[in-house]
Amino acid sequence: MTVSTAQRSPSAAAPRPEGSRSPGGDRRRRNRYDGLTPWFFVAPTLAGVGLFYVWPTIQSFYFSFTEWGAFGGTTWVGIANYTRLFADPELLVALGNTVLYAVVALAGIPLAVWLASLLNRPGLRFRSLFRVLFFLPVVTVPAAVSVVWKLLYNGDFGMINYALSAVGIDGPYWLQTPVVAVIAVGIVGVWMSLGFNMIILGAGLQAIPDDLYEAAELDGASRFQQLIHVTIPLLTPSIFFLTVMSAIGAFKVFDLIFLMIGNTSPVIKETQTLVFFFYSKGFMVNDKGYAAAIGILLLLIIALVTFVQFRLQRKWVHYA
Amino acid sequence: MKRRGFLAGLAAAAVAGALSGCGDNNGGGGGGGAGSTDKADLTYTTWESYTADGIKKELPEFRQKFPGINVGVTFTPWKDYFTKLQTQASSGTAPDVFSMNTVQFDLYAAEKMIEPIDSMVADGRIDLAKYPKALTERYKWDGKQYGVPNNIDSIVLFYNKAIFDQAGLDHPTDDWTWDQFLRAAAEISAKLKNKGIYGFTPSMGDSQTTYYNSIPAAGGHVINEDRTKSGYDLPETIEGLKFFADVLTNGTAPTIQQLTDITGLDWFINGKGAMTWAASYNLADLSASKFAKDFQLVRLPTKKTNQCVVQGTATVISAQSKNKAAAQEVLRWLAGPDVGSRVATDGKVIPSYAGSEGGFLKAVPGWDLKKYIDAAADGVLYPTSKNTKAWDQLEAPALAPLWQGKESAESVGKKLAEQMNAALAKE
Repeated sequence: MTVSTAQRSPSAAAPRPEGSRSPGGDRRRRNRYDGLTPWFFVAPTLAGVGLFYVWPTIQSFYFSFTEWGAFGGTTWVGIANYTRLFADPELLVALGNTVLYAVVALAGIPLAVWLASLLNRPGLRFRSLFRVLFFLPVVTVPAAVSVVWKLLYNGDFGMINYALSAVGIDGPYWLQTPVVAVIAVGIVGVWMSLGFNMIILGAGLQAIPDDLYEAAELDGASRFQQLIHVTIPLLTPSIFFLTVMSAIGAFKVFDLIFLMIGNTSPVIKETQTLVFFFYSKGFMVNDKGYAAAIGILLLLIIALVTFVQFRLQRKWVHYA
Repeated sequence: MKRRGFLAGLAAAAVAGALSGCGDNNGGGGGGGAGSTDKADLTYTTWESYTADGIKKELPEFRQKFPGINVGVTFTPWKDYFTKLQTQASSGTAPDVFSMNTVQFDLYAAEKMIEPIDSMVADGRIDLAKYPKALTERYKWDGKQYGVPNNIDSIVLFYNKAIFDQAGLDHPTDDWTWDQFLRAAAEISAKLKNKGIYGFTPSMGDSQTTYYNSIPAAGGHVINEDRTKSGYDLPETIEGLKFFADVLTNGTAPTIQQLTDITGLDWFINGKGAMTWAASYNLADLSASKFAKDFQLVRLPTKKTNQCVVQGTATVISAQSKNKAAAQEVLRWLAGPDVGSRVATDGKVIPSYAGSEGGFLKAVPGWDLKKYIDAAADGVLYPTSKNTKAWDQLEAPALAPLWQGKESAESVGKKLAEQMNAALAKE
């Protein structure tokens, strides 16, 4: 992917040869003397990716057609794992929870846009302090985050329910109620990724030329109109990037579910996500072939979601 | 343009990273060696932090006798222990000597991942008579002995004297019946709930301290003696389940949601529960409570019996070990009275070696810890089968609607029995 897009966009880098009219640069002649040299430079990375991503993925694909013994040793079972998977009621639950979590995670992006543009306001005091505060959760260990949020979410003695009771609301047992628990964990996920998202958006904001705002101001655009017509359109590449990343991250969520709800919770079957489902089959019940099938399905879902997002970007992403 | 390429590239790379896991598989087994005790570098792993600590303390003594044997001790938390061990064993890198419990034992023995110790029994290095018979029998597979228990877990009833006095009730005794227990628990909850105190706070996340005891007490069983059939659909077993279903839904105990947010043991430790059922492995936590001086223990209440469930940790030798002669000496040392009583005293666990319980009995001053030993003596074995994990993972989700009061014990028990029998049929 990286290679092909780079080939299609030489215009920003190299001076264009005489007579080239296509802005896409499709008629760029390849330099025959590139030869093998570039491959030497990418070889270390390729080796790592190949060994730790591509090869395990291929193996997982194979394993998804097998049944595992307790200590290894596989038997070919054809598509049995997949037929079982699609008849498994747990799959729908796990998929539903994962989608719900993804929705919460994506809802965090507008929040990040809003906060990033606040932080980017000219003349803001303590800007660095705010940046640090928002970024702290990103560099905090998920285990520590989970412990603290578990205390906050505690039904009887948690701060959140205590605060709610002050305004007369009887809060739920956040982590022990299906649906609510997934949303509660999703909120923690958003909180943890907010800092990273704001950095990406902040960089995007700073790349917007000031003269556009000046022009808008001359034309009589209000602050809000500037946001809608200047800032957000020019921020769409960053927003797109974050949407793709957040969706992928959300589909892979495991740590927070595992740490905050946990495999001994009576509601774990109703609150598990796809990766937790994968983990419970692969490592708790030790049904690794079946787990591999879940993994392959997850890969396909993520690939599909990302493909759709790349398709849709043509309609809403503006590259300046 | 540049940015587009960069960001899009990153996003695409993330998709590629979406799937990993499911490691390599070389098939296990084999590759071991006899070795000698002159020179050996061995690894030992346990999930019991107190055993790891005790061994480190006793190690110099052992090295005096076997200067050539070096033992690297690793502690792996319980949560990850068997996941890690299974992965290690699959790839041929299991530790030479490691801790084992009755739940996983059959699997490791049947798959020939561990080494029999019959030769040690034959030449007298291990004296089986020194250990509780029920548990040594449990570490037999196909007529061969694979290990002896190092320590034992049993279950007792803990109560908080101060809360009983506050409620004006008589303290529990060893011969309490279920009715007496339930009446007192309900009365305390009714009187003290406005202070956030409950009469009974069971640790529902841990079957070993909860329904695995009420089931045998009511005359039922989780699995039959041949370990081929589930007992969850028996009326006696269902009665054992009802014991907990009732207290969780009638206000005697906190609800299952409350007990998942904070375990029953923690309610008790923090002075918010008058009674809980606790295993010997909970002793370290219990004795660290600031209310510990108010705590006392008695046997579990009686329905048909007051038998509790008994589990025992053993040490076994990996079939993959390169130096089994040295590993045998390590096992013999670990199973012996010295390490046993050191671990029992420091870690507050019941040692299994006959006559080495002196330190354990004095581990917490003022507590009558002999109750644990009595409970272990007439306990029932922890329910297991060859592939226990395949069905004990089914219990918590299947029983959840019962604890929540959404379904009856009969219908939950019947469903669970069906699922469990299906899993047992695959063994």
